[in-house]
Amino acid sequence: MGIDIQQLGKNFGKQPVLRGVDLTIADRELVALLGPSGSGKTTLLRILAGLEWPDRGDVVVNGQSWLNQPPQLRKVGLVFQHYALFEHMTIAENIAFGLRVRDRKTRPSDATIMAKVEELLSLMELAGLGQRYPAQLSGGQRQRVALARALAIEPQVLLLDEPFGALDARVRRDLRRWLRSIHDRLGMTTVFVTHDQEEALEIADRIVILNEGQIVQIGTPEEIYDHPATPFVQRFLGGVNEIPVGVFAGRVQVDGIEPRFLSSLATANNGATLFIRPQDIDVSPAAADGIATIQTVSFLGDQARVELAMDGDETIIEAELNRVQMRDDKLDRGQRVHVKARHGRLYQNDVACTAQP
Amino acid sequence: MFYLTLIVLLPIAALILKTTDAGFMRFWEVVTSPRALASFRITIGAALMATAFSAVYGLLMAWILTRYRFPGRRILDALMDLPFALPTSVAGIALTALFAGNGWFGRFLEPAGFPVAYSIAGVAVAMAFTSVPFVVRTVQPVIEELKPELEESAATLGAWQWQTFRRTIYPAIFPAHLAGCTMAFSRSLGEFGAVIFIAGNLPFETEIAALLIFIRLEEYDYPAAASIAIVLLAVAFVTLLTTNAIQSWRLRRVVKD
Repeated sequence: MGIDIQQLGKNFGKQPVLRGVDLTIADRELVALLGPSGSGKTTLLRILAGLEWPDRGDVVVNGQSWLNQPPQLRKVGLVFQHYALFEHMTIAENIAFGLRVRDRKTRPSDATIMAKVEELLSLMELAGLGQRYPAQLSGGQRQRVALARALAIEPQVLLLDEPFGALDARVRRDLRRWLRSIHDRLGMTTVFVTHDQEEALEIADRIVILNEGQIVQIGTPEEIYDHPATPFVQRFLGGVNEIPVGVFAGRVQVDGIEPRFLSSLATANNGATLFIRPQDIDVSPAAADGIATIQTVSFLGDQARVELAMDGDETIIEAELNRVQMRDDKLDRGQRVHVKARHGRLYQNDVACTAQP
Repeated sequence: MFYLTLIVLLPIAALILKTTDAGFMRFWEVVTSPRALASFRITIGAALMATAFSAVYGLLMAWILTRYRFPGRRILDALMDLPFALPTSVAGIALTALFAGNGWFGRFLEPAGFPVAYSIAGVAVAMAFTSVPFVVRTVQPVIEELKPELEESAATLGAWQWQTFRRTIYPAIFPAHLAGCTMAFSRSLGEFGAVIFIAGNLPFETEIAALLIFIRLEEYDYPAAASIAIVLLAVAFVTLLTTNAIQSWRLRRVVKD
């Protein structure tokens, strides 16, 4: 079921948390709300769940406003970061909760409920754990119970608030993929909140980037990654070198980096910032004619993160290099090097100019 | 362990010794005497009434103090401890003044057919007054720690407020509530100061067991006093044991094994 969010605004006291958010979520879409803490993403999710009400704007589902519907009637599945399971109930009772609280007329029979619980337990790979209590399960299992409980009411919309934030890295990775497959199998609309860009990039159909209560960019993971709309998005996607540059007569001046990909630019002579991802930097050994010195090398597995101290103003630039390549080129701490950027983005007054060779 | 022995076990041992002094027949005679039986009935009956009231009212107050923000909340919160701080005899005199036939409450209750002062209801009122903080103060921190997410999950799963309370909130606070009620009950069993002013102390009608102990002591009948005390002790002990059993049964289900 599609959700149409219109001009949503909300203040907490005098503090605005949402400032006119417009967003259309398509039926069966998996959307990630990505942003730093305080960006309003959780408030937006809570408004969708019916736990919070906006001061302005509307949420329209199936042509009707959702704002006069209490959470009990919206049929949304909600999953929290810290599971929020009912500790005094068994896993099976937790999952059955949403069916058991229905009034007599709409409540399924005990046998139907039991069958539904068993079905969800096996779907969640929790078969055999129905009689346990939440305290007896691991974090990953508990989060799957929370998901099963939310799915038991056959929600049209599944909402997840930082669902994997409390889990360790490996479990998080598994659960992520698994969420994607559940979403595809059950065919609902899913909205999840995260501050982990990797998570959003990996599983979302579309990513909505929020900052200070406003949408900064909406796009597929590829669009967001390849064409970040603003320096904020670029920074939020993580690990990027920011190099202040001057532009003179349409040419970007950067000492020594030779950003040849920035052949010419129709910009005024002005200051700008060049963003280069560490993966987009080539480093080759040099004799005395190098422009930088390798300062630190840290291990990342197949890759190594290298900090380069540029001559002159000693700007530090981070590069990610293949370790085999490094060994072949005898690149190590103290080595003088040439630095070349393969790709980068130049921002001026928050306007992006794509620059590629 | 030493302090436990000194403060708790030694007096209890002395109590039992005093009772056995006179032999079992004498003990049985004392505790089954009509006056003693009546006092037990009155004490336990009034304590049950007081506990029932404290259970509901204490839970309500704890809920209000944690879930609502209103002017005067902090004052009300502080007032909850008043029965702890107030000398019980002062409480007794104050309650008597309120509920006596010419008191603020008594002048309406008595004509309406609910005499409180000098009746078992008065005994229960005095017991409830001194024991309500036990319930409030054991339940309050547990309600404070309840995560709002629990109620929010319940709401999105379709549970309305009463269902949410009955099925998710109350089970979570039940162990604390039970503990608070047990303490309130035990305290009510032994309440003396607050009760004797309002009770009127008519044997067979409003005379509580604690007062009967006092009367026997006044008569230098130590074995009789000790015998009655032993029964009170046993009731309190059984109550505590039962509560602990219920709680550990629940804990076994909830806490990781």
